[in-house]
Amino acid sequence: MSDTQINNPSVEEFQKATEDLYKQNLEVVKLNKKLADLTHELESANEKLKGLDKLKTEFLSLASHQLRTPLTAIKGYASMLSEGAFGSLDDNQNQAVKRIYTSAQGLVNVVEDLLNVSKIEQGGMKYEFSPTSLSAVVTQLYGEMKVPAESKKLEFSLDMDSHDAFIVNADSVKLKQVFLNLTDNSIKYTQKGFVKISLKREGGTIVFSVTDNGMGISPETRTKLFEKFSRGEGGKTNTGGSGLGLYLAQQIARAHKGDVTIESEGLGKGSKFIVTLPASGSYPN
Amino acid sequence: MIATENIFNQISIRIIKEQELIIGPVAWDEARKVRGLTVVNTQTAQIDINGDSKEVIDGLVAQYERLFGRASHEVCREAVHDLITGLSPEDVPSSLR
Repeated sequence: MSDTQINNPSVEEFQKATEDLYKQNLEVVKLNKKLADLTHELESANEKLKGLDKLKTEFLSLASHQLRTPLTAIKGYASMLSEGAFGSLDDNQNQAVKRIYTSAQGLVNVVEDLLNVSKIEQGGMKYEFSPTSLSAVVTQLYGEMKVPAESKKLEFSLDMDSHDAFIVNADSVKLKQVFLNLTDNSIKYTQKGFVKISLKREGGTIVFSVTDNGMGISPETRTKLFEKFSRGEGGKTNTGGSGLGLYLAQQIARAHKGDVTIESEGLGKGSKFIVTLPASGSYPN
Repeated sequence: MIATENIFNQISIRIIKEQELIIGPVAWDEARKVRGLTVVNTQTAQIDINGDSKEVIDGLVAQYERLFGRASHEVCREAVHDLITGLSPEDVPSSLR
């Protein structure tokens, strides 16, 4: 006989344990049912959202097309007025016409952004890739953006190795739009100081960047900036824009097997927008 | 009469399947022990009832309650709630009233 005593449970204790286990199992089953119901609800909500998203994209596409036509007419007539096609204008009239033109151009940009988002979401964005000299694109961009930068009395500079053509296989129009958008943002959100454009080669990667000492970006905002209709700190001020520029920039860069990233040490500490593109290797056809 | 018998069959199956969700295949083992109830096929959930159907169902409910307590009785009642609403009061097995 062993000295060890084994305490066998009594029938009552065994019954109680079985009932407790049953109750626990029952709770699990109830929870599973709830979970299944919730999953089902989520799935149907998700389906509805997908439908709504598709509808929204179609609506955006249609609305953008409908807006573009009258806007083109407004811009055209404003331009003709400004050039004196309907008689000469005095200074006040000329200024008013210029405001009409600038506002119409702002709307055209928003409509273009919306159209591009629609195209991307419907998988209909077409790229025409060809060997492109980024140094030519950036030099042209620098010339175009000098006027708005200098009108804000910003120190505007370009840092680029003039002996390197920086050839990439790219859709030059779309890529220029990306560079233009980032530069325009920096100029827009820098009230005093500098905006610097740079084009460099880092191994197999070509790096375009725009650095400024403007309002900067908080870490919380940085994570959301590439979402559609996202606004940075500058979005709180009346600087216009669709909130689609960075989303589009990233999508276009990614279509070139590149990317767009942001560096900023925080609010008031400026920011740096970086576009990386593969200098060589395979490109989308 | 055939329709009512069919309902008792459905009630029994519903009870066993609901218990199966909680205790697994043991639910069928326990059902086999009930007098007047024959499990034909567990995969297709087929049973036969011989004798007084109401007594068989009462026996089935009692079988689970004996092992798993009052909670299992409540599970049986909730499982067949919609089925017994179509029965006249005297046709409802006493354990499910």
